[in-house]
Amino acid sequence: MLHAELRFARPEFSLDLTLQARPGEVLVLIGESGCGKTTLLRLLAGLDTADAGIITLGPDIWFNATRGIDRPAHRRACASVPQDLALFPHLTVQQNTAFGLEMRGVAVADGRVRVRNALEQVGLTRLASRRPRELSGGQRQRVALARALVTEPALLLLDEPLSALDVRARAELRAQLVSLLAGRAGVTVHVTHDPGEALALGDRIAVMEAGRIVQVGTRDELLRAPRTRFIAEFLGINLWRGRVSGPGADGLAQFATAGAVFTVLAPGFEGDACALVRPGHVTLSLGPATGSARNQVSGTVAEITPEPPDGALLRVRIAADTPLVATLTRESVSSLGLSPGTAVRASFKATEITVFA
Amino acid sequence: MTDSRVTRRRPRAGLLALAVVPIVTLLVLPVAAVYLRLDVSTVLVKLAEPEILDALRLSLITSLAAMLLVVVLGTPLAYLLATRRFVGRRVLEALVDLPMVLPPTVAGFALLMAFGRAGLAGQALQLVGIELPFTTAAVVVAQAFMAAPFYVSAARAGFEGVDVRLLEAAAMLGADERARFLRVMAPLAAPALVAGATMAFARALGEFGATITFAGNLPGTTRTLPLAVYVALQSDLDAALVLSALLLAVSFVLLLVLRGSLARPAWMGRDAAR
Repeated sequence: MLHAELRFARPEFSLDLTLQARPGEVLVLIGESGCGKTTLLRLLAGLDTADAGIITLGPDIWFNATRGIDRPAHRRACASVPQDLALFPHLTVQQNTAFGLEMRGVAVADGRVRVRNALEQVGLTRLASRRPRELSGGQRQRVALARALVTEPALLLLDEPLSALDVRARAELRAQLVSLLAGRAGVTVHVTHDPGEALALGDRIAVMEAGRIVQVGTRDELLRAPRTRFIAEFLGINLWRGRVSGPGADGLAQFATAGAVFTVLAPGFEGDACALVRPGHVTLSLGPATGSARNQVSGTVAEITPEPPDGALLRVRIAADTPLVATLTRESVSSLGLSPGTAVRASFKATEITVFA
Repeated sequence: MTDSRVTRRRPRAGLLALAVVPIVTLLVLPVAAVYLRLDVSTVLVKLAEPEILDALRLSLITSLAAMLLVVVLGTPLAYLLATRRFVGRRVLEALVDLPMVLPPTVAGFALLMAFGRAGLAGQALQLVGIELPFTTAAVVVAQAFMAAPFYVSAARAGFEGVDVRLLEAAAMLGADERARFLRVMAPLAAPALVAGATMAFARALGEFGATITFAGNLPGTTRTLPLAVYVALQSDLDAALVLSALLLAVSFVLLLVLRGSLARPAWMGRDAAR
């Protein structure tokens, strides 16, 4: 069990929150950049010191301001995948991965087996003797993951681990991450600003705003009862349940849901799944859809409401076999002449769908 | 990872002339002047003279010892200056750099006042049977004194250049400060450390003023190559020529070798350090 109560004040920024997570759980912290996510991770890792509060992990006290306990980073059973990865440029993939085990005094033979397994898990066995500069972005990301996971940390910190990747690599690694994290015994704290990532990866999701946690709950709890406008906004999404099938050689798969089959980027698994499209990525047209969008839904406009905060965007709810919402500017709504009852076609690209189990 | 460093292109003729002409006049011309005056027969004769070989051997040994001394004593200091904030840091920095601006004879005199027979620490040393001035050890001390700032400032810059995020990553993987230094900081700063050590060696090899003041000019024990050149100038021009040529060749080859092989680790890639 991870329990953290932290207060940290700087002139330009303050953080004040309580956080709990059970072993085996993935807690996703979501919030806009600057809300204090990275600061929180640094406090948990022991790279910065909170002004007040406690951090305990099971029976271990990592931090207790009143008792003057502040265990240094290297003595916390904590590993991290920082946003910039911080791979050691002078070490090979193999040596990078083995670093944590060596530092923790794991016997060489045992360590070698664990490194080999870790590299196999992330699919880097062939590249073990390369150095970071000889790898692609996605490969570097995997090295950072392997390097952190191989130590089997009681607390694993992931700081926007998918943000630096392109859409395809992201979909692939996200699916891999789900399976890697599923088998973990420790607590995982994953920080992101991407709602799709949060919904796909989090057992529980904590929403952060300005250094505070404004709501914690499961995916369903958050979708059912968002407590602030920010939550509602980022959750104001199109989410369908269905099944993924037929990943092809082109890297695309089919997602079947009530009333429609969508083309999506192959998520790395088949079977029951959720698919998510942000309303801003949906295009509306009156005739047949144009452009490269493969996915189209025909329906009628059910409702048009101004979108917070200032109503510059309008939210268009479309009644169809697969109901969805789109956000458009006022100008596009009036140039299309949309009003309740208008027949429209909604379309969106395969790359704009997030699929998760 | 985008690389924002200057990329190297072929120079235009104007820049080439502007940059290269002064170098040729100031550096290459004197060197050439020495080598053009040499002829093979004098070289062979002079190289057979024990005084010249003694001076060469002494110079190499003492410079190497001075370099090692500077590396051993200077590395912790450079690390301290690079990684810690403390009261008196500026003063310490100024002290470290002092020998760079000090006339070498003044440095030698100061060493004499400190470690000489009547000096501040000299008397104490004498009680335990150590007498420093006018020994080979004194040569090493004088050279190390003059060469230290070159190594310390290079090493410090090298340590400061290591990305703090890598050190944090190492800490999160369980590395204590010692391990972070040995496994991350030192390897990443290695090019700077090697460059600094090379500069220190070169400075020690050329050291004259502090050596002659503090260690004297005794053939075989304290007469290094630069001192031998100075002595030869007054009596034997041929010997001075051969000695100068020798010193130049040794220095140049050493610089070339050290810079070429050690200062360019493979992980930086071929473009990075070229």
